[in-house]
Amino acid sequence: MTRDSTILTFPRATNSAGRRALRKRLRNALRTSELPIIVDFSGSQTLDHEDIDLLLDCVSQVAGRDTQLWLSAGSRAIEVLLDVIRISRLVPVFSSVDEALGFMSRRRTMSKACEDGIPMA
Amino acid sequence: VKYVELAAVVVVPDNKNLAAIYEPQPALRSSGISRPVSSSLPPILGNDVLLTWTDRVHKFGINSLWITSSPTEGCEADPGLGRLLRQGIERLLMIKLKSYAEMDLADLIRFHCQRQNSMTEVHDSRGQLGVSVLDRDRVPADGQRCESLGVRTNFEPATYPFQGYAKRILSSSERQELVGDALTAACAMRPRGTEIRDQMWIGEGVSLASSARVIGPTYIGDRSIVRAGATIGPFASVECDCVVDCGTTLERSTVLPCTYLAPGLLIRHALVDGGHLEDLSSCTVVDLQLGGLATRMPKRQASATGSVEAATDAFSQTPNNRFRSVPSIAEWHTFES
Repeated sequence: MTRDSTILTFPRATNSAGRRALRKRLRNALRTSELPIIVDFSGSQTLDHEDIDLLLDCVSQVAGRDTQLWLSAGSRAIEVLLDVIRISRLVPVFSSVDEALGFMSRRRTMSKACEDGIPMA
Repeated sequence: VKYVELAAVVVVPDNKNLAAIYEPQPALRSSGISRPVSSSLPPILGNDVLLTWTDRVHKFGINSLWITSSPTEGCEADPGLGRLLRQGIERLLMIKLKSYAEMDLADLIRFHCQRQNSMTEVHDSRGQLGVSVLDRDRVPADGQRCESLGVRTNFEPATYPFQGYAKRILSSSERQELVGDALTAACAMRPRGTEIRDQMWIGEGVSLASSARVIGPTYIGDRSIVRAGATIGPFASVECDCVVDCGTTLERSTVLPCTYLAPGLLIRHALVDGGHLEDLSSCTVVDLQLGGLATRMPKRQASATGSVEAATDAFSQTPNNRFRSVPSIAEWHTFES
């Protein structure tokens, strides 16, 4: 967790029991976090159907709440998969956590500037 | 020994070690090339690139045509080549099936004769196209090392600068460029099917749901099925025996034969082959089958209605039965070309 966001590593479970436990932990974090959440896929090489179900679960968890959910693909392969399943149309997808944090920081600077009445270039 | 001035060998890339030269079939020798074999390469808009080359060779007037396969670059010389030469062939046109090129073979042979070089290789601006002409003295004897059934030479072959239309079909992105060019008549290749509207080609026995959108330029190959709400095109090619399920969008992409695409996908600038997708911009290959997003289906031979039934069977056989149920047959419209 950073000062401004919660970073959750997408579970890389090897069996269904482990996957269930990780799913529960991830869902709890999504439910309780007040900060923007970045789900990091850098530990995943690919996504199977259970991963896709879990990802859709994550998206539905934050839908209708004030929580912001961002995805960090970590690799081009995951980025392509997220695009193919159209998740990138629902949730912003970044190449890395650093890119997501950088975007978050820029956005905060911009909104602060707007509040202060400073014109942005 | 029968004297043949010029013969041709087409070398088909293949994973299997078929290293054997097929004897020319009677049809090749005399009346014409009657689709002797098909290459292991996937079709492009229904066209077999092997046949485009063999047709070109035949039209040029070469009746002695051999087809062989080469599993790897730098293999041992095929004994068949030596056998070929012992049959009295003076000059060999060798075509490695890695490109589609609209080549004037007469001009190539003329160039080769004028240069009086034992070997001529065809190059375009991006390098070798895999086509060469070599004289008898440059073909390796049995057992000698050669490069992909070519010749390891210690001299510089003449270079024939080809400036016409050529695409390397083993490169997915160039293959997609060829698809776009063929759909827009920017090259001589034409999709195999009926042009139902401008730049919109449909093969035989295609089933299109009434709510499916087809945006030209587009090709949908024989016996393929496009389900409700799917969008195909622009610049998309669905080869034969494929199923594009409900709501899936396919743009600037190719789906190779016998591929099933699950509902709701967005395929852009990619090549899908069974359960694998190659992103053409980054050359990244991803596994769609693990996520139940795509799979390979058995080839179907039946009529359009039969195709739907066969496709239904295919879904029930897919791993984990992850794919959704099939709409009723009543939803389909059939285009017979």
